[in-house]
Amino acid sequence: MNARQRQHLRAGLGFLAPQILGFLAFTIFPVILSVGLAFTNCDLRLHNMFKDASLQFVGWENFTRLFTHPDFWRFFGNTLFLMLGLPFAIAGSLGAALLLSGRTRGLAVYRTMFYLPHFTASVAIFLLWKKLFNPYGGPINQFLAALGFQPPEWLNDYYWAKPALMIMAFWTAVGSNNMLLYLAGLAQVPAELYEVADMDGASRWQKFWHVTWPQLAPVTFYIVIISVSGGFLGGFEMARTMTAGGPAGATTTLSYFLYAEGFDTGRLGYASAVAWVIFTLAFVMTLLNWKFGTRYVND
Amino acid sequence: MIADPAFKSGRRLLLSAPMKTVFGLCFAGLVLASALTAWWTPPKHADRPVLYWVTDANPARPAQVESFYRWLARHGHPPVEVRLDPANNDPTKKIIQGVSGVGGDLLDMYGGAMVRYVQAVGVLADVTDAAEQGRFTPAQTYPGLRDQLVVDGRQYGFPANVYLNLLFVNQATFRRHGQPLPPRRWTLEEFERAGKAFVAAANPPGQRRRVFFVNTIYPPELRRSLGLDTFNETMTRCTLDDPRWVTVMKLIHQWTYDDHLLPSAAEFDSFATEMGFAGAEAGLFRSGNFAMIEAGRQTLVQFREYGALELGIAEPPHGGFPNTYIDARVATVYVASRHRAAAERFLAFLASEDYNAQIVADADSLPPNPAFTHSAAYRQPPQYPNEWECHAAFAESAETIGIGDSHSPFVLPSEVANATWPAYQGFMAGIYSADQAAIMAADRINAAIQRTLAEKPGLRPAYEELIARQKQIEEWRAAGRPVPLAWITNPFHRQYYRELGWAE
Amino acid sequence: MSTTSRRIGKHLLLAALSVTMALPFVWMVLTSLKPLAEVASPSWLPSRLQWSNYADVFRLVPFARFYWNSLLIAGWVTFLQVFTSALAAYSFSRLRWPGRDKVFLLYLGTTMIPALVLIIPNYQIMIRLGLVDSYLGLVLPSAFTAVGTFLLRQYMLTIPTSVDEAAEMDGASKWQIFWEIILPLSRSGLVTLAILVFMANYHSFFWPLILLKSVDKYTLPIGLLYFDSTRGQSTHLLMAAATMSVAPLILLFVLLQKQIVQGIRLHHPRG
Repeated sequence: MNARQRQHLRAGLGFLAPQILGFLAFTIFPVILSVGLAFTNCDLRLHNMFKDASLQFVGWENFTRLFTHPDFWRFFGNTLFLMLGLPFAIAGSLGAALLLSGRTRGLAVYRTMFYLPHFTASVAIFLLWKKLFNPYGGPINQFLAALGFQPPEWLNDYYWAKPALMIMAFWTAVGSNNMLLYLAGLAQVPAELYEVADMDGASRWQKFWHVTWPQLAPVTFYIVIISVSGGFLGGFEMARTMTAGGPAGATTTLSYFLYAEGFDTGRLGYASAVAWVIFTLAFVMTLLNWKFGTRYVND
Repeated sequence: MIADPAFKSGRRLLLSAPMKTVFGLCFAGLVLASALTAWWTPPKHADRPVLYWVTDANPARPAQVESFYRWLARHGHPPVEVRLDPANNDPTKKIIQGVSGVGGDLLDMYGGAMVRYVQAVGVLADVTDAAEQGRFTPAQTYPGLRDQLVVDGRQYGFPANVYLNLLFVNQATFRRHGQPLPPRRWTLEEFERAGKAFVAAANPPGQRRRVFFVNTIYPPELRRSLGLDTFNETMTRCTLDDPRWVTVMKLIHQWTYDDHLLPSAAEFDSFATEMGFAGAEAGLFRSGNFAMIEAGRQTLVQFREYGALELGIAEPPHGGFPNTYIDARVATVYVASRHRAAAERFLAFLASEDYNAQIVADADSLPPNPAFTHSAAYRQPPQYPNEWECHAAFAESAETIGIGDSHSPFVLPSEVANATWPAYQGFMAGIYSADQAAIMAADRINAAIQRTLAEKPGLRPAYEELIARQKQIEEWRAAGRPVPLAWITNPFHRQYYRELGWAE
Repeated sequence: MSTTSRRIGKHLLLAALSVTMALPFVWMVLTSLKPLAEVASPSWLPSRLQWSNYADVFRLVPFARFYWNSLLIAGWVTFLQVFTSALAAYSFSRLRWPGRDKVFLLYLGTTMIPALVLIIPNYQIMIRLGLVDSYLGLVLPSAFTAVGTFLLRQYMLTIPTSVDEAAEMDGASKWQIFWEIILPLSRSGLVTLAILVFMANYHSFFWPLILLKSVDKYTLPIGLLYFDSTRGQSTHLLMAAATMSVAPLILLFVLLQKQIVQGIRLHHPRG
């Protein structure tokens, strides 16, 4: 490393410094600890201040047990299936942001109303959606019956429980954090670019496709990455309060599985292994996105 | 206020100020707020030992605490202060705090399964000796609860509320549809016949079905009534791969989807969400949508708000061996509590008349000490004559047919639940056949048993001994010889063998 | 389609969508004013407005203290995270140094770790540091995560490098460029991050649940546990408490949202 590079390194690390210390202590260090735990037989019933069993190294045993668990692949499939709605959810939040961007007066009111679901207690949201999906007499099924269909039992049906959750997730996504991120992204498109496009006589669609969408690429990249990893790690709260992972495991996602198998039994070593497998899956997906995405993002 | 020009310009000034100012002001504000917080924190002092009771936010608790203070004074014990701590009541939190040395002094365990799990972690204090002295041993409570309080011969707590489910009968609903009232004890066939007649009379044809015979039946009770439990006599093997469990599953399926005696999960959920939050069953019972509900004595608290319902009681139907499950919210003491003696006195209080009288009066489940269920105050409360049959029935059932859940030392209760319920739900949803579901559940539990033995080799000698014992039991049973009760560790089988005269 | 009819069409669409978004919130507020017996009834409107529910919340628990704690903790976490993330994001997006992208990939990776699995090790660290049941222990683990850095880096990437180069030619140092140029141009991103972090930390439940033991340090989500709704005992109070706890967030959002949508111009007076 020559002197110039060393100077750059010093500048780069200098700006990084305030965050990196806390990051190392409270993120990296626990990460290392928990990776270590995944290869042990750590169990709350054996290893705490009241017991004196020693921690044993068990190699890959926790991982093999996970992959031979009869339902693991089904829960993996559930998680992937629930993630199929992501493109629609992201498009929905972009659409909402496009509608709500700009500084016209009334828009501020609409923006707040769109974001209200995030201010509502989740127990209230779940209860209301359960009412909506009520198989006998709920508005959705009454509407479908009026159109002549035989409506499904939604959350109580093994095959329709996941689509029901996906519909609810789409509704939540429209007025969500992603909408805020897109609003900010839209605002950061320099006005000059639009002026140039106008001078060239571009239509609204052309302006969107050639100016807005490329400028939003970094934000979209962030949203996709976070949504994909959120998809792998999520579904826990919803499953716990609305469906208890049922019926018959139809809505059990990997994170719900992690909680039930790992934490409810006190097998912390096993739980760490499960968590790290989930992480690896999400990370691989992200790497693929990164390779694909850097074509659009000018680094 | 927001439109006021001075405010607007001030805001604009702040928000377009240079970044350094913005950050600087935020920092200064936060530092100031933190200083204020430190100044406002009240100092902690107490002139008497403080016991933290980690329990739920039930409105009856403060009165129970007051009663405890009076009991202490009357018996000449030094005063204490009990602080309720519902925010620490989450089960995961209890364990994590317990293993880190910062648990509350009195920890409520919801059910024998939780007692067993938390005891395995090592967080509970062994109160066997204190129980002898303070007279709160298992002899002072219902026999069916013994295995929920005692692990490996040592006692870890005392029940504060006892739960037992029977079928409440809405006599007015039966009369309205011209049906005879059910008997207290009935077989599966009698139940089915009465049920079919009832739903035919109560549901006009062509309309959406709105009236059901009962809200639910707990499958393990039916299973036990045929003589089958989750585990064998020595709890070394799961016995669910048995035709009797298949029979029960198919029966419940038939009662739900063919005979419509019970609502399906979808039908029940649609009722429940129409009515709002928890407590839907009681409302539907009162409105006549359920002729009977399977519930505990604590449901009377809700019924009292509805005015005088005409109440009767029936046991769950049986296939030869009448039984019902009994369980409790068990008060336990934290092993690292700094006021252990005071906490153990609280457990003694739970066995006393002062505490039991309150439970008798407010009907919040059964009182932990059955000695207090023989009085007229319990059986015949003057303001509620419609409840007299109920109180007597609960007390009698608890002492005679109530059997606690069986917990094997070789597998965790949560593993048992994770194996049985998804298989059962899968069958009810039509994904597996009944045979598949039964075999799946048994295989998983037996695999979990083997895994536990692999993780904890110290258990293996005891396991081998019990396997040998099990073989002996089966041989003697087949030969018709009476089996010594001491050989049977499974609480259900102990009762079963005793009733059928198979034991000595 | 003329501009006016397009505008009317847009308003109608927005109005219809907003109503569906607002319904659960409206239900929550209406339920918070109902007497307990009416909570389960299918009609949304209470027969009379029981404002005393709100007073009851303050009477039954030290709600004001929970409020203060939540605001203080969320405030500190937001400040620390936005500040350190902005510095770090600048390093990742505008500076070139050896190993930069590899370190960033590491940062990226940590955002995908299930938070559940870090809680136990972090709790052990807090025990060793003696920070169990303390404010500092609540703030530290959440204040230095990678998510904010990732977000701000993406926003900073949209600023063309010509701006930096022009400033450097004028003799500005990296530090000055950061404060005077990049930060103001990232205002939307900063405000968005601040809102997101504040809200996430305000609602944070599991970590305070595990870490805190003394009542005077509880935050609002823990305080809501006092209104246990599993027995249907105090749903109306729970809704009242929930409504009150989101009030500051709504206020924050209303005040700051203009900052998010305010556009930028590259040719600032200061260049």
